[in-house]
Amino acid sequence: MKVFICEDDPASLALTEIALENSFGLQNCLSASNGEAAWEALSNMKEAPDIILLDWNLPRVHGESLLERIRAHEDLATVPVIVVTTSISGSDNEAAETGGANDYIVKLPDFEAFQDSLKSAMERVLPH
Amino acid sequence: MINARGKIILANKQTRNLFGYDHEDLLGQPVEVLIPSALRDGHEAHRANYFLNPKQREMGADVELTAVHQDGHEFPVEISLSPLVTEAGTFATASIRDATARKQAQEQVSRLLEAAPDAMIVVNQQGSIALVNAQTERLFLYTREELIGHSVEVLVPERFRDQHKTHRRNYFVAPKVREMGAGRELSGLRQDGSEFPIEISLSPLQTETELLTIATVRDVSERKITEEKLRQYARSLEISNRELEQFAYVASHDLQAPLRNVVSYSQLLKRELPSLSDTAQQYFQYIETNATHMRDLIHDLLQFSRVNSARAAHKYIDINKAVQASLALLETEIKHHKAEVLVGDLPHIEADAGQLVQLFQNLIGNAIKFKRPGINPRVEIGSQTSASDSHVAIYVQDNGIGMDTEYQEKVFQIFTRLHSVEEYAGTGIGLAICKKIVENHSGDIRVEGGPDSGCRFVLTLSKVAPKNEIPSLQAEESPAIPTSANRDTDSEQSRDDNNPQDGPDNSHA
Repeated sequence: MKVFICEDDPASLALTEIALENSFGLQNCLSASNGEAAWEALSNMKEAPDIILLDWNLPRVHGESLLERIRAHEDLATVPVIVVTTSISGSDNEAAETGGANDYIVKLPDFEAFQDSLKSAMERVLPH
Repeated sequence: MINARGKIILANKQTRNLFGYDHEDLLGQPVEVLIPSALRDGHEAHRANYFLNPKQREMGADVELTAVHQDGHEFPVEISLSPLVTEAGTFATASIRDATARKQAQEQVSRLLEAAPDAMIVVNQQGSIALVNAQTERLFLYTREELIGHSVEVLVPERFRDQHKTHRRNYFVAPKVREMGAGRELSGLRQDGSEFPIEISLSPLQTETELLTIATVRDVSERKITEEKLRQYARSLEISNRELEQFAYVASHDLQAPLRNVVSYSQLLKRELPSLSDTAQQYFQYIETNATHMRDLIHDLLQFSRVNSARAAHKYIDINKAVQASLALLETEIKHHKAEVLVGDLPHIEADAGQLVQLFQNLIGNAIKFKRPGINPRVEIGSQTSASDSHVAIYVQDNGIGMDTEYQEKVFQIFTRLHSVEEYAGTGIGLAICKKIVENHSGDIRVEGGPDSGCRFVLTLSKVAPKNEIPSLQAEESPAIPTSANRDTDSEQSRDDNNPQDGPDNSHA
C-alpha cells in the first residue's frame, strides 16, 4: 500500500508514520511538508498513491486548496483522501466533506486513540 | 356713555369706582378727563372720527390704552365701544375694563419666556411668528424685529420648508402637546445660512382671539457630538472585545498541536523504556495529569471565547428542554456519583438554546463535582419569583460542600479556583462561562448559601432577546488575527465541536 502524507510538523509526521507502521506494518511512506511540495510530488507521480493523508492547516497551499486540486486531477480524482487535523472546529469538518475528502480525523493527544482512529478511517475508505 | 360732542352723560357705579369720581363730578365733563393729558388731543381726533362712522368695535385693538384716575395715577385699560343712535342724536357707550392684572400676567409670561433655557417661538395659524424670546435671537442669529410677523419657515432649511408647511397646517387641525419629529433628525437654519441639529416640542396656546402654537426649540449640537463619541467608543470596545475573543480562540487552537506532541511522545517514550523506576513512573504520571489539565484549559478557553453575544442565536425555547439536554450530556457523571437531579417546571423564554444547555451543564456538573464526601449529590432546579417582569429567575440548589461567602463574587471571574487541582479537577473557567452566558441574555448570576448549606446558584434571564445596540457590527467580520496556517472561521455553533474528546464523532463514518 502506498500512502502519501502531507504534514508540515515533523513530530506529527513521525507520529502518523509510527501509527501506520504499528497498524499496517507500513514503512517509508512518501511525504511532503507543505502544500506546494505536496502538489509538486503528487501531480508528477507515475503511479497514484493508494491513499492520501492530508493535514488541513498546511503552509503555502492550504489543505482545502490542495484537496480541490487533487479532486480536479485526472489520476488523483479517485484516490481516497483522509483529512487529518488538530482542529476541533466543525467548519473544517464541513469544508473537508464539501471538498470531497473521504474521511476526517482529529489528531488526538492520546497516541493509542489516534492510532485507532487512523486505522479505522483507513479501513473504511480503502477498497477491500 | 358720551354724546357726539364727547360729554359724559352717564357713568355707572363701576366707572365711578374705577376712576374715583362721584357721579356729579363726571356728568357733563368731556370724556378726556379720564385720559392722561398727553393723549387727550389724539383722543379728541379719534372720537370725532368715530362719530362719523360709529360701529361696534374694540378700541385700540393693537395699541396699549391708558386711563387716568382722579388722583392722577395712570392704569392700563381695555375698552369696547358701541354706538347708540336715537332721535336725540348719536351716543357712544364705552365699556372700560381695568387691564392691570391682565397686563401683569402678560409681563409675567414674557418674563417666563425670556427665562426659559430654550428658544421659544410663538406662531399663529398663518405660520407667522408672533413672539420670540432672547434665546431664539441668540440661537438663530436674528433680532426679534427681523422675525416677528415673518413666516416661521425662515428658520427651517429650504429643503424642508414645503414639508414643514404641511406639517404645520396639519398640526393646527388637531393641536396638542407633543414632541416634533420624534425619531427624526431636525435642523434649524440660522440667519448666516448655517444649520444645526435641533429638538422641538409643540404646545397649543388658545388665546381669547386666536389659536397659537408655542414651539420650544433646543440646540442639540453638543449632545449629538457626545452621542457620536459614545457610539465610536462603544464600537471600538466591541471591536477590541471581538479581537480578544478571536485571539483567545486562535491561541487556544494553536496550543493543541504542541500539547498533542508532548502527550503522545511521553507515551511512546514510556513504552520504549524497558523498565521504569517508581520515580520515573511518577514523572510520567505528572506529565500526563498536567497535559490533561492543559487540554481541559484549552478546551474551556475555546468555549469561553466562543460564548459571546454576537454569536447568540435567540429563539423562543423551553428551558426544560435545555436542562434535559444538559442532563443527557452529564449522564456518565450522574451515574458515576449516583446523583439525584430534580427539575421543576421551567418557563419558556427567548434564548440561545446551545448556550443554555452549556449553562446548565456547567452548573449541574459543578453541583455534582463539589459533592460532600460520602453523600450522594442531590441537585434541584426550579423557577423562582423574579424581581422584575422582564426576567425569569431560576435556581440550581445542591447539597454539596458549599462556598464561603467571601468567594461568592470572585468565583465568577475567569481562572478563579477555590480548591487545588488534586482536590477537584477543573480550570476555573466554567462559572466564568456561565456568567458570560447569562450576560448574553441580559441577566445576572449569583451564588448563595454558606459552607454548610450547599450552594444555591440563582440566575436571571431576560424573557425576550436583547436588542443589539450596535447592529452594524453584526454583519461585519472582525479582522482575524493571522497565525500560522490557521484558517478557521469558527462559524459553527454546534457544541459537540467544542469538545476535543468528541473528536472521533466528527468523522462522518
